[in-house]
Amino acid sequence: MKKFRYQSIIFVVALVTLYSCTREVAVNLPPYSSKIVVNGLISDKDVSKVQISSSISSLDTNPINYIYDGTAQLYNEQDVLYDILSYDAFSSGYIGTKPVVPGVFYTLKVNVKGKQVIGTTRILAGAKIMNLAYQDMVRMDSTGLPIGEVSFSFNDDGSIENYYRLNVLYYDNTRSEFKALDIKDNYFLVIEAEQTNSGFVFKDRTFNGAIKKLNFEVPYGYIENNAPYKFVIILETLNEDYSRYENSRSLYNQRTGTPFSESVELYSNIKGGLGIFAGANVSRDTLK
Amino acid sequence: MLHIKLRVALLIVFTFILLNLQGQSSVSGFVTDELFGEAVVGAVIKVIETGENTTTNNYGFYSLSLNKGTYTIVFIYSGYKSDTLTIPVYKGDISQNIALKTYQIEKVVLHGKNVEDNSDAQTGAIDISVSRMKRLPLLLGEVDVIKSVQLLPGVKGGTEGSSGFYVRGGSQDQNLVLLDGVPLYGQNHFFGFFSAFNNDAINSVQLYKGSFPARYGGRLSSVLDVTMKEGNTHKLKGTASLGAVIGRIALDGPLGNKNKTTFAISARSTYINYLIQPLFAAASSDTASFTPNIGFYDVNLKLSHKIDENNRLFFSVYQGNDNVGFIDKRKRVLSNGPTLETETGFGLKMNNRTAALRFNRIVNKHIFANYTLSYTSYTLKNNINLDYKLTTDTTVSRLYYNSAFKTAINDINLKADFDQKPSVNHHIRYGIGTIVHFFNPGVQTLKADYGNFFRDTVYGKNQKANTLETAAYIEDAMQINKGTKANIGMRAMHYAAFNKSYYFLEPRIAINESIDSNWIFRMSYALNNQPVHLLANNNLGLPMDIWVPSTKMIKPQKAHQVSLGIIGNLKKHFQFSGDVYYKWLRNAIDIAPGADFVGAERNWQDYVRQGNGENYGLELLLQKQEGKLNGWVSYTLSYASRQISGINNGNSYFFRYDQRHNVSTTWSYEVNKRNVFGTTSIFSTGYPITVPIGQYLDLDGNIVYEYGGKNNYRMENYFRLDFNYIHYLKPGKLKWAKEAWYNISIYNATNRLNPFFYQISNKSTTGNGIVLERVSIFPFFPSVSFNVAF
Repeated sequence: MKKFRYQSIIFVVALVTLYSCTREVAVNLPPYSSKIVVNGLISDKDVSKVQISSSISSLDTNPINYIYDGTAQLYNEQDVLYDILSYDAFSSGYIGTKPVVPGVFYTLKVNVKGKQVIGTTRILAGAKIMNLAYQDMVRMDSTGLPIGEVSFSFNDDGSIENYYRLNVLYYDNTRSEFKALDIKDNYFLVIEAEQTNSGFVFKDRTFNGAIKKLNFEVPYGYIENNAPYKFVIILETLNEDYSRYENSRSLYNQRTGTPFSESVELYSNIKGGLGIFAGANVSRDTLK
Repeated sequence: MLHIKLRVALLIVFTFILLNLQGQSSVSGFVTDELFGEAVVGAVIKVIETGENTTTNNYGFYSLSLNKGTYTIVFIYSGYKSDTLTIPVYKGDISQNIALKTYQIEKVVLHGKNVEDNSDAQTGAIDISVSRMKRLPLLLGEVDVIKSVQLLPGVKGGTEGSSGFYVRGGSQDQNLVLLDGVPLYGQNHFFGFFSAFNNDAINSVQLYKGSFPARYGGRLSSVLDVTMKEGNTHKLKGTASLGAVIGRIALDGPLGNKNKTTFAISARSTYINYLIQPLFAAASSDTASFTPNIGFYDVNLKLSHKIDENNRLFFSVYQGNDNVGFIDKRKRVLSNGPTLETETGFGLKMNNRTAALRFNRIVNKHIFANYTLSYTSYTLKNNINLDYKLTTDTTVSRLYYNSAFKTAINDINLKADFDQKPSVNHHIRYGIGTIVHFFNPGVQTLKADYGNFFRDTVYGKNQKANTLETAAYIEDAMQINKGTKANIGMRAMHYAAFNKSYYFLEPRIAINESIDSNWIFRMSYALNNQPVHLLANNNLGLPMDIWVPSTKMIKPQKAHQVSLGIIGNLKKHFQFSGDVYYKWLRNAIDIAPGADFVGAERNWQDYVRQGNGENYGLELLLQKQEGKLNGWVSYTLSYASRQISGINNGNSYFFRYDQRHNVSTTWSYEVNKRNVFGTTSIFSTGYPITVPIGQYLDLDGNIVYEYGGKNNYRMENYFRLDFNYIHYLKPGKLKWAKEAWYNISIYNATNRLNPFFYQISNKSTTGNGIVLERVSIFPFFPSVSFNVAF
């Protein structure tokens, strides 16, 4: 007992002396100059959408509101006005009137209280989903139940470096809705893709100019034969700006808050401000 | 073409050497400690009549070339009484071994020699007294070579408690750390709080900053050359120490024939596990148990065998191991009947190992040869284990997840070094060596079965790489005239990896010019290349470090460095030195934003960027070498910046080890033979960190930070004051011990909460506004260690 008490004392002393102490410290930053923040997306299937706000000091505890009294205009490569975006209170953003044309550079000019910021981007021709199919048994799992597989392919344009975002949805017949299939353990995605809030982003590093086939395992019980749908595959061909943004955002979410990691700044292509102006060409296919 | 030029240059030098051998005799031999027979490294041998001097090499060997005549030769080394001999030189070579007697009252100095005896004309070269290290205040009762080095000008520690060191704005991998001539890749224990060196095993420590001699290469910033004790030739002796968390023991002595073979072995280990494991075991039951595993150990062993007067054989081994982890086991019966057993485990292991076989040969009285075959290995592993077992009346199902990550580097090194004193005015060293590096930047093994998730995969196997590094060098420490000495050398290196070869020529020039009898002006220039790199997410010395090779994509780093300085004797045993330096870096490495090297799914090369760098500064040192009160004060003013594409938008930024001001002092006062007081204080301005300056909404409306630039903020200033008191027990107090003493230390006596790291969190419920929190460790920290020598 005496020996145990002696050991206890030593253990407690060791714990106390090694205990780390955390204290809040004052942060003395130079005065912060607010910047216009633009987050805009263009598409060949949908109208352009832009949200405008301002950045504030990192020490500021006030909420950040969207700006409703600015202007947002889209210009084509010849600097001719292509579209005027109007403020929509429901979405707190500015909505255009028409889609854009793939392959053409567009410049977004945003003005807020006399200050202008600019972003330039273009979307690409985009890959098309092919050969979407489903096999209801490719192997058995550890409990003896069959595992199915959904597969599709697409053709990459070898003339440029392409970035893609992928979402695979299965139809939940019980709830009558499409839900995201868990595909994060797919070997190709593990090695090549970054998982973001909006899907898996990857580039054509290993299949440039070739046909790429992807297969995803589907656990038993997900698919019902009498359901009206089985799968929806959404393959977006992102432009480079969009892909870099999503990659940086994924890294940011993983690293921010970790004291032992390098800090990550979100990618921005807004000159004179912050944010992103980017786009995607969407290919969507449904398997019934 | 390069090889042809080198061959011609060597041929010219050898011819010159041969011609100069005519008409001279050599006086050579070994300088040893009279009491223990250990080689005295760096002892100064001075010829009064000619003014020539030389120093003993890492094996205690010296050689002088003299014309016919009678000479007065003085042998000097700090802590020993000088010995003076009158030696007639008429015909033939003379073998003269010297055994130096130690002082009764120990002189503890930083430099092993006075200003005028500095024959190795190297700007920024420092001998660090091993006995001086023992008198510094201790952290957790542990003498630490690296913490002693951190007190020198131009050398910085990392964060609080760290045993890393950063020289003239360089990163940790830019230091070549040698243990008995073998590179040591893992230099720390226990998250960097302790260095890998056991002071009991060390004979000498030399630090070269920047323009190190041509015999060293492969790094940009410094060389820390640590030699181990060989063991005394007279009788078995030892020391033992018991500290707050670490125990040490060391033995050395003769084996067999007293004059032929000696051994030295030292070991230390933590005993935290022995304290805490029984406590947790006592608290465990059949349904729940927690077993921690925390600790480290290291062992040094050296065998020395004197074959005959001209031939000696050495074998040395180092083994260090760190282990941190736990296993948590639970068992419970679920409400519907089945039994669920879970096992959760985490482990972090580091293994560091070197082995060297060395053969010394006195080829003739002019040439000393050393042949070395060595091996070094550094391995870091971490693993996570989750295991679930569900047992019902009829079935047993199991789900498991096991992830293991391993990174390693292994070297096999073969080299031959020659030391020659061909004439009065020249001391030539030359040699050749080759290293095969075996890199394993990261392999992750993933085994899992969660029913619908199955994996049995290995990632990162294709990142393994073997590279070859070959170097030849020649250097000449010469006396140009009475007041001018120089060390001029050239190192040629070839590095091959991934079907890519790199060739380098590295000139090294160091010149000392005597201003008068007390002052010397010194200048140097060096070009260095570094083909191996350390990738670390942080400067904490945490074991997440990965050694990687240069490749086709990642080029060897390069640095040009120039230094100017003076060193001189002041009154009353004070010595002053001041140096300025400027270093240009090319292909300097830094980590890309968001890099994370734990896990091997990605190629490490994707996370590395290269660019240019610039380091410059001023270093001042004032030391008192003799008397009851001795020690030193150092001040460093320094700048370190980088400009690298892909980092900070390609703009210049302060490097992570940029620290503007650093003042360090250490003093010891010997009250009498049995009582010594000591103090150490460090003040430094903060390292740069990255803090958000703004916040805004992203594409999904989430708040994200704007940083506005890398390393845009400064940590708070660092200040620490340590005290220690050493008390030697009366002789004979412990009948079984020759000597016994306590070392009572107070680390951080002012209890200042210095920053270990900072974390950023949100301030308000809306999620806006940052809060910066400083995490500190090691407040006011007393420790006691008890030591005996027998």
